[in-house]
Amino acid sequence: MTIWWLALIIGSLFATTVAFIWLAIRLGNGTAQKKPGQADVQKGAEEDVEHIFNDTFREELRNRGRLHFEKIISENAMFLQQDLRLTTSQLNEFMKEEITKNLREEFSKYEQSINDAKQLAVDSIQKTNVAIEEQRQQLHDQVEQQIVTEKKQLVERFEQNMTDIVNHYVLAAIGDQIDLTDQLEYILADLEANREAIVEDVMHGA
Amino acid sequence: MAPDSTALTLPVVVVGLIDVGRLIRELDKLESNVQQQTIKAEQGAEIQLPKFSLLLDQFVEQNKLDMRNEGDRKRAHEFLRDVRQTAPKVHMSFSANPSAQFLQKLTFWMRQNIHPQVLIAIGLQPGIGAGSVLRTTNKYFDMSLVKSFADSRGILMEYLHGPEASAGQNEVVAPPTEPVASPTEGAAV
Repeated sequence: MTIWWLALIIGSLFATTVAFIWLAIRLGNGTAQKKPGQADVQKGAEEDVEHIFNDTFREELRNRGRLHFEKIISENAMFLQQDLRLTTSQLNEFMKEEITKNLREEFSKYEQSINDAKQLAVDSIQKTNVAIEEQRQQLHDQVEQQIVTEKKQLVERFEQNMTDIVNHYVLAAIGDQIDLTDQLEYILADLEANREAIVEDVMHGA
Repeated sequence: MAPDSTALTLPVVVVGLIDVGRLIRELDKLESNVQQQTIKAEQGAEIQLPKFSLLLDQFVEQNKLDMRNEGDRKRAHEFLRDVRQTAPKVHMSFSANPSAQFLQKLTFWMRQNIHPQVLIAIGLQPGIGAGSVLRTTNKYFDMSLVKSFADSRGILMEYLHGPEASAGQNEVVAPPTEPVASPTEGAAV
């Protein structure tokens, strides 16, 4: 819209200038085509013209034209400035919207990527957890089975060697307090219980 | 092999074959000493006997022997040689070294109940805990505490597992270190 205004103003200025020039040329040509009889009239007219359009009047016209031209230029510059400001504002708004839109799209893509990566990581972690849990369960079962087996072996070994264990315990506990003199009755009783077998072997063994 | 009423007897301080050997050596030495004194001494002079060891002193005193008499010396010597060759020998092991008093009581019982000339070799087995292990020529009598525990294994199992667990444990199961056989059955060594 501002461009159209500028073109219209420039066009009007150009038309005014052309009309002014055409009027000056027409006036000059009309004077040359006069008949020689009319020279005095023409000369007088010229003098009147020179008298009317003297340098002061021309300077005034020139100043007025200059002022008018400056006014038009100023107005158009103002319009141009306004249009430029408006255009800049719109451009800023447009750029802001575009940038915002692009940023939103990029952020959306980034968010989607992050979500995908997050989901991938979560899936991987879940798979790892499942695998670890399975391995832990297997290890737990193996250890438990091993413990049960070792416990069973220990119990069996203990039961098999219980006599030695109890004897060792008794010896460790009261071994140094058992005197052979105190055992004499017990030993003689055992000998008495086996006396016949001993006598039999002593008499007939050799 | 039945003991003769007129025969000599071994004192309880003479426990084993080693003691008999010592007696024989001492008698040999005594015989040699007496012969030397007989040769050196004039006729009618009294023979001075050397001081006897405890073993020989007990042996002489118990059998009322006169060691100046050559016949008694020969009799004692023959008796001891005969004992060394023909007397029954047993081996007894204990958890600790027995005292002399203990050995005398044990020897007394053995000679009263088993054989009047039985000789005992003493051994040491700390692992048996208490009691004794007797080994004769052909048999092995385990009268130790370990054997007693082995015989009572069912009771131990009953206390450990309850009455139902002891059902199959009543049979005596010999431990791995069990020597040869039960005392009543005996076995060849």
